[in-house]
Amino acid sequence: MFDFIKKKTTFKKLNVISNKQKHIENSKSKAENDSGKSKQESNDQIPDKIEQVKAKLINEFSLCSDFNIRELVLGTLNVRMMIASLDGFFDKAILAENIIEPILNYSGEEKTASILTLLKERILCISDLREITRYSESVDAILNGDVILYTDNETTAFKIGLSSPEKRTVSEPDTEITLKGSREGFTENLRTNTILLRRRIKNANFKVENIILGKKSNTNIAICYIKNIAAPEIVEEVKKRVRRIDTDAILATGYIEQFIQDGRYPLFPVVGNSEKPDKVSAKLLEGRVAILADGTPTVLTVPFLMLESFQSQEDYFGEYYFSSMMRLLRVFCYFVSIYLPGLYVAVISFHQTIIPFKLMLTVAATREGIPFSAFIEALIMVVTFEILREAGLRMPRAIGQAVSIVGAIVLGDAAVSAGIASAPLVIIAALSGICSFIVPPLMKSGAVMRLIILIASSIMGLSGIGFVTFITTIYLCNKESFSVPYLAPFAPLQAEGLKDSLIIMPIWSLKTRPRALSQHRDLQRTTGKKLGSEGDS
Amino acid sequence: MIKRPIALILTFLLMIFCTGCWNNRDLTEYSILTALGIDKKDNDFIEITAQIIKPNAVSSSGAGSNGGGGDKKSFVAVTHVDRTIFAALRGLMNKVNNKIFYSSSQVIVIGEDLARSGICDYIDFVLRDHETQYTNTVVVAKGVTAKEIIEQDFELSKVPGAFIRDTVQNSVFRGFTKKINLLGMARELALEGRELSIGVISKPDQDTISEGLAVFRNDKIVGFMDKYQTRGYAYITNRVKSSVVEMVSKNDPKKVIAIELMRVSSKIKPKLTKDKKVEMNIQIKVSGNIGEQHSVPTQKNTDDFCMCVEKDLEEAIKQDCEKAVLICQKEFKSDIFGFGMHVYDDYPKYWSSVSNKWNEEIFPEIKVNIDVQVKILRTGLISKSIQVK
Repeated sequence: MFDFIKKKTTFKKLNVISNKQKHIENSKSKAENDSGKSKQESNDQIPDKIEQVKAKLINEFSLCSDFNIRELVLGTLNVRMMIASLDGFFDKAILAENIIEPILNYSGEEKTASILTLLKERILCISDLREITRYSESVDAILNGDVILYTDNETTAFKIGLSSPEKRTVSEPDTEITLKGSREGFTENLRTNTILLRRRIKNANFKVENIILGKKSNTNIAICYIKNIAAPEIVEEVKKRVRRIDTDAILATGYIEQFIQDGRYPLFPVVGNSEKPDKVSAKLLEGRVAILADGTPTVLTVPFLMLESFQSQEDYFGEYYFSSMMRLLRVFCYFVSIYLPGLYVAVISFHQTIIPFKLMLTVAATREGIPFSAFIEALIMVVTFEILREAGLRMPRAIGQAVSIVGAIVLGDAAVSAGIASAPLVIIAALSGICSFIVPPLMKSGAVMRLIILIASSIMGLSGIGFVTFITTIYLCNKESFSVPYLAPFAPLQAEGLKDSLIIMPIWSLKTRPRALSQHRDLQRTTGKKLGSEGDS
Repeated sequence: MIKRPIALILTFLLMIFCTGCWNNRDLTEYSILTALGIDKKDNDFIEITAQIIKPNAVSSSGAGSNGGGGDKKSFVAVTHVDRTIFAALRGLMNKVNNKIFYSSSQVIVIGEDLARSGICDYIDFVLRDHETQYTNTVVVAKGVTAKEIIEQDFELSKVPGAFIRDTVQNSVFRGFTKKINLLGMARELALEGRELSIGVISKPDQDTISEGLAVFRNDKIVGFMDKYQTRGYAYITNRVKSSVVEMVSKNDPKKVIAIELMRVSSKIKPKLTKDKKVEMNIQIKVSGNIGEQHSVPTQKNTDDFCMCVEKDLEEAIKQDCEKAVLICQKEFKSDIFGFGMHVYDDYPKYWSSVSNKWNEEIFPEIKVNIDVQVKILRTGLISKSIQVK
């Protein structure tokens, strides 16, 4: 039996290696493509005649009603200039006051240096100013909401960073509500998000690397990590995987999540999601890498371990004994949520012997006259619960009451009194459903696991449940998230990591970072708590 | 190398050969059995009585029990006569629509007639079958048939099997009967140096009483012990948990004192004398509280009174034990105490020379020394009785 398992695992490992080889080949072929592109870049220069630029831009942005071109002349020097931008991305008053006005009103006698230095040093009253020479870069900048200033007879243009698109204010996220701690949440604006993080980690080692993804959408992606804490291998791997993404559009970080996660069809989440800057900062400080995308308030953190699903930001904010209890409760609830319906079916249809006698009488009485087998009955109720949950999530808020009434009365009470489902099963379906909400990251995989276990239990009873558990455990032990074992610190066991696992010790005793993440680097987090007068002096 | 889907299918196929939960049968497709009665019917035939519960009538879940209870019985007793238990149980299927679920059985009642003619043949099935449970309590019906016990309806409980099991348990606490399950019964039957004894259930009038002990030699009943003798047996075999001992006061023979025993422990030590006679030394340590006393209202010193009561209690317990030993030695000639077992442990050579004639010749002649040590712990909330003035 165990030989068989070993064989299976090695076989999987081999597969992984062959996958890696494939990736290497892929990247090689890509590199060749890139070199081909560089040949084209020679004619990517900005034309020096402003008419040519104009024609080119108008051609590019034809039928774009939000594209604006403003031609003007530099004060007394009579140099023709052109401002190109997309309407609505910035404050027009700033453009008029700080750029157009100084240019038009310039009254210097003659040009001393080049026009460009003059503009840069004397005229343009703007902080974010960058010179660009490539035409395509200027188009990208326009698309990003910046203003481009072209000058006649020059192949260099100015990119003026005025971009401040409409954005939501920073507010508390609905998905992660905490009682203690920060109430800020990420917004759809990438810059706001990086600032929310930067404000918490005021350190030059906190790196924010930009990548543009999506052939059509050209979405800004930021990869954040703390140098010296995050393992460089992991950072490199993240960058490699992100760069490898070849798709039309990144409309949400969820797209990235699916592209970069380990394995093709993972049943358990291997990428973390969060909308809270304080949570993400904590994860960064543990040595994780965060991926932000413009337009999504959800931030991805990798590597993601199974244990993180049971952790909550509030666990670290005090009362470690209570937090430990809650963590154990969450783990218990997770098991309840995936096992309970299966266990019920197994016991009712295979192992009646293990039910206590009085309970058996009660269950037998409630199940009397129900036309379905326990499995069908459980399936109906579990699926019904999923329907209600989904309906509650998707419907417009105004219809909420109708759904809750229908759910509570019609499907709960009426199903029992009509003799379609038994009362214990309604309790079990509801309990396992509610328990699944306690561990949100595992909710989706939990719903699938619940069904798998339910089906296994209806075929094989308890040994079926045991079998599924066995297979799942092997699967989880084999699983890795960015080369970090998914079940760390339990498998492989790391004694220090257990302090912040199923239980949590007081924060001053968590002296090192998770060893699995920040492999051998900068491990010390705190030196512990100093007692007595030593600290006072 | 095997393709992954094939490997998965193979593992699922393996699952089918794993240990057997193959019998997918819903709980509603079972008839729940709570008690089983076995009686002897003329010559080789036996009569099986099965008590089958109607779950709906039993479970009184608030709203569901409209009109429940009433004069409707919560169970059905069905009988069938056949040559073997197995066949008889299958025969019950004529009268019951669902397959009978044996594992829920609480109590097995053996009829006196059957017990007199030997039970060994008949417990074979209940031990062999995989669905019956070894934890079933076994009792012997004295003076009535097992069928009557099974058909008995109890006001207090809708599950008569469980009711019988609980009353037996209550009597066990008081030392008036012995609770033995199927496994224990099989053990005592198979064990050398110890005879089988099973608790008794009788029905003197409307209600059943589970007090007393049926004494077996080999697998046949040789007689019954009354409840006090049973308590003697229980003292010696260390089975008394909390009993109330009533005894006559020495000062005033008309008045009684009742002692509640808190802790009883006993030790049996065999001794082989030089002339190859066996002596059993039984040491019983008892501690108890005074629960009720009518005798000495004007007793001055509580300590003196306790000393006095201790002596009386020693005497009373010793009497119970001696009576139990005597009736087993002289009348039944059956070593239910397991003296033989102790001899076997301490003097295996001697035992092998006498094991054939133990019950008939050696056991009745054994000298049994019973030493009782009593300690009165407390006198309850008052140290002296109320004095009427």
